[in-house]
Amino acid sequence: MTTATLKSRFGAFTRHGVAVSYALLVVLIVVAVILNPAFASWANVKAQLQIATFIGIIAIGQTLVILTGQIDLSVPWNLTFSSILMATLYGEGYGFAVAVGAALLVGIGVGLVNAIGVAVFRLHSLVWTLGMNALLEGATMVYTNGQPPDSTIPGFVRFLAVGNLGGLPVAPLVWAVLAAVTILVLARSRFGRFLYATGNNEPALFLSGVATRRVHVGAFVASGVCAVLAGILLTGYASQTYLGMGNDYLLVPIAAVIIGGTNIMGGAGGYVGTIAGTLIVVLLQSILSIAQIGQAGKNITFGLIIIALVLLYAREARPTD
Amino acid sequence: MRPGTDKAPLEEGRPLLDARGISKSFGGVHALEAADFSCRAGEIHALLGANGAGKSTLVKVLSGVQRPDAGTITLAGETVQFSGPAEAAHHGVATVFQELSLFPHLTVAENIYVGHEPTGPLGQIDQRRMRSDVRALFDSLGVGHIAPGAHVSDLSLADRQLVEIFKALSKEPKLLILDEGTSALGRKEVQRLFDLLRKLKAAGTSVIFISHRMSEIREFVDRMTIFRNGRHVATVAAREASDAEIVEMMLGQRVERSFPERTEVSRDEPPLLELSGFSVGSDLADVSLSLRRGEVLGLAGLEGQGQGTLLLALFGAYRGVAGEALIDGRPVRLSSPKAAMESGIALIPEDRKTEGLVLPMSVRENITFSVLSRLGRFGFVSAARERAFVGRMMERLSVKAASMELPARSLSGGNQQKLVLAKWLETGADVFLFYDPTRGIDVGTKQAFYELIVGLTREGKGVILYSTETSELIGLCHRVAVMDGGRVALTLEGGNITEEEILAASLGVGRGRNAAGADMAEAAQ
Repeated sequence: MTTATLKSRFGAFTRHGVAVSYALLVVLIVVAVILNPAFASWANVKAQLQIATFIGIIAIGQTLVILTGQIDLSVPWNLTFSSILMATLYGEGYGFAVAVGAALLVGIGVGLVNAIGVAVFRLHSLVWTLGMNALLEGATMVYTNGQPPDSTIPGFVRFLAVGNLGGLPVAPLVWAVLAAVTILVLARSRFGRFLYATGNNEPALFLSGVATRRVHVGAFVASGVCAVLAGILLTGYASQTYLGMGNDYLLVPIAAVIIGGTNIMGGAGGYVGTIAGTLIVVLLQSILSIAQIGQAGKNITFGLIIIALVLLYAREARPTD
Repeated sequence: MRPGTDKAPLEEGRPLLDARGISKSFGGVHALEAADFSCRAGEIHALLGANGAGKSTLVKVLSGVQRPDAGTITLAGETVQFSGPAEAAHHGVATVFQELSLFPHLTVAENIYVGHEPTGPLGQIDQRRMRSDVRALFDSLGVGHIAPGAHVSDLSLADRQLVEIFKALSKEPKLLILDEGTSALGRKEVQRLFDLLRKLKAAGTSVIFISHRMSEIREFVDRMTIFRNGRHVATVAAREASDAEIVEMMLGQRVERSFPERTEVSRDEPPLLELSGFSVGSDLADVSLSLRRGEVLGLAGLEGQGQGTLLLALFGAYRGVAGEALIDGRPVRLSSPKAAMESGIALIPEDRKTEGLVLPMSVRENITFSVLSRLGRFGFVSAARERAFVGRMMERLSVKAASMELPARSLSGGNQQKLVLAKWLETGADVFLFYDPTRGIDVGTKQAFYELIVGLTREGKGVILYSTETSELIGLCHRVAVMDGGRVALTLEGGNITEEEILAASLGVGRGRNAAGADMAEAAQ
């Protein structure tokens, strides 16, 4: 009896993968420090968090979208296009507010179009947002004539990306604030509640008198804006924009969401797990670098871990009755 | 009687199909209980029964779609056990189901020959031969207007049903089962179909025919078997029993149940809800109804005659709804469930598991979806106010759950249905739409639901209740609208609400003359 109760409680806890992903994170940290004690140095921790920030912010949007049972594949070129637009406008003398505002408008617009495809035309986001990504790539090529753009980076963007505030790096602080808001929204807001319900059973929510289209709009617009924010920070970090700067930010944030225990089919999970997932993917890449494993080996390890975790979560999520 | 028939295996009258003691239950509900059914070689045999009599389940068992829990099936003297539809087809059983199974993007000829296409010398599909064969077949059957090369998606529903039947016939079955396979056919087409079936019959093929159009059945079939509550009641020659006798056999002994007393409805006040000319595509045609405060209006009829469409359309779940709706005399736009909710309408939908509840989420979350904006501020939910609200609703409906944090999935069917109702109690709804709310729930909870429904009318709300249990309609409703083919066939009132009247109107047989008066009284109001 007691064992069964304990088991089911533990099951309920691990079902969302949060415990598993944090346990894995601790293991990875231990492994990394053993491999190279300098890993625990403040300088390295800061560097790791810096990289994690870009992934973590994009993963906010992906977490919301994946919770509704959808996915956003338009991130790479949404990020690239909006960053190049921001840098170009600023370079042409439009001022910080206009440049960043235009970039954010691109993100909102992309999110709206993505949501229209899913909520109005009832198309699967896998196809629709992939098309959106290709469209944005084309738009970027037209806008830049295919040449790497001249970039002038606003000072405030530089500060956000690589500045320090009271000895702490600013970018991870920005991430921390956004993460706190996300966790709060998911746990306590009406929108958060509707995200989970949409992912579990959209018709039932619709028949409860809830405007489910707006839920999709909220999730995709959030994802579009998160991609833009990450792009702005990445621009400040690299001190430039370049074609294909978003290419590495499609699958890694999605992997972070899944490793963090959010169900790829929607309806269960959350951002607390995604934070662990983000740190895991960043740490894993570092560890594999320290261990001097080549890119092929990195990819294989990465793939294996995702497959193993998805299998584990699927076993636990199976109904017991 | 047995020894005599055993000697002559091919003689007409020997059973081709003999099903004995077939039982099948779904989650504790017995769809078939030791049911017997037998059909001779070379006869057209109708299967009759009210909703839930077990006809469809029997068809599924006979065609290998479902395995019986118990019982034996003998086909042409051989005991068979079908592992699936393919094996049933191999034994010569072909079935045309209510839901069409054609590939819409393939041609008529391709659909008919799917799985056994004629091939040329290189194994390629011989399109030309396929089409000319189908052409010849159609011409001989008098359906030359269907082009073998036409895409099925371009055909009318009636033509699609014909193609479906020809597809089944192209397998040259020993036993053909038509489960409501003629519902879209006109009188002439049915006539032609039966001409064809008679030819097949002469060649020794048996046909089991399920239709709700009793007049058509009596004219064309040889014998009829009546089912009730999952059991065989009687098998009679088609011309042996009268319409009235058949209806009585379908109904059987009545189960008396106690219903709370109906609320007094004031005739002086204007109606709460008035619908005029409500239409949705071909599913709902020109429905006009009115509902008063305190009244329970029943919807009856065979399953799928537009009752569900009417309720969902009223709740704003369909696009392209024509007609007008007035609530308290004011026109309302029912463009979405949200709009319907804001106009004061609540829906308890057909399937609580897929439409009513988000099963993995908690009791608390399920009860508050519709009222969440009132339980907090600035888009956030106040945990304290939410818990207080949920506690109040659970007490009011006596929901039995150990905790409001349990997933809705873990509750019993009756308690789940209470959650669906609970979410609407404080949305300010005046019109409650119930789609068969007591289906699959235990007797005690059913009783509780009757009290709840009457309780709503006492508060001055109006209820539209669709139920597949006729006794509920008789016990609870002030008026009952019987639907047939998307229309209100007849509205019964007061003492005219009887099982015989409802069933007769559902089947479209010529009873219920006295109810026409009630219909006219309604129109005069």
